[in-house]
Amino acid sequence: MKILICDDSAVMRGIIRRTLDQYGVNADFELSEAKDGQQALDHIAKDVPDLVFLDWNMPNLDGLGVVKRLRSQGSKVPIVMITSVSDPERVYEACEAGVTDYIEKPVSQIMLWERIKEHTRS
Amino acid sequence: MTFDIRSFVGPVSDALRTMGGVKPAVTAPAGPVPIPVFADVSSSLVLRGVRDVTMVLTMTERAAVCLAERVGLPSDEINEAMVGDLAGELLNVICGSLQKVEKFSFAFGLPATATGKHHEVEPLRGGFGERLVSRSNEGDLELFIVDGVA
Repeated sequence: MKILICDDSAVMRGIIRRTLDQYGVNADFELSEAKDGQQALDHIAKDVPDLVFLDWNMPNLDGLGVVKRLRSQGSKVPIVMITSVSDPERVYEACEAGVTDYIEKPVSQIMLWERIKEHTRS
Repeated sequence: MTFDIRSFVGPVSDALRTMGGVKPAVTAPAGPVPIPVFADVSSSLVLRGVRDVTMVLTMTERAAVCLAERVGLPSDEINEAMVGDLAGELLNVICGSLQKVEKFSFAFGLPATATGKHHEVEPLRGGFGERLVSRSNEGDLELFIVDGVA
């Protein structure tokens, strides 16, 4: 199974990756990373993941823009948005755009793992 | 309603172990935070609820660099800004582990970070709480769980 981690912060990408490693996810999943929205779209166009963890605030196309583009192309890839944005209107906007799930920071390891189990069930 | 910050110690220790790769030990029963506290990298975050709690993470430069390498950051890209960011994000994740603790819910603030060789950690001026310490040849890391907002 393939998971794509999209965040402009190398620190956050590393923390998510380490979190997944701790749960032994690395053994069963192929983890990839993208540093901005356009890179995320390019990656998904070449190799569709089974789950995407997506930050909202990114350069070169933000998370919301990524979601809108993917859904307009007919992509049904599960997308979990991770963000410190807590404005209910923005949460609504993300859901309307087609986000599958939403995690508000601070994230916990358990929350990440539960999302993986939830959204990668066959 | 009673509230005991010692209930934080378990999940916080677990989070530090899995995320930070360190084995912290509680050095003493809850008590006054020894001041002043100095660090090379520090981050603090306030949890607001029925009671307010201040979480403070401090590290030596060596601990911060080792931690950065442990989470897979390229060695040639590790700099002061990055380790500051790492301290803040790590504290965020540690605090995230508390969301299922106790019967209280918390509103989480944003982490504030500071870097600079041997700087005094301002949020620890005064206060009463728990202290978790990890000392090794990979540097020193401490996590303070302080009752109230310092």
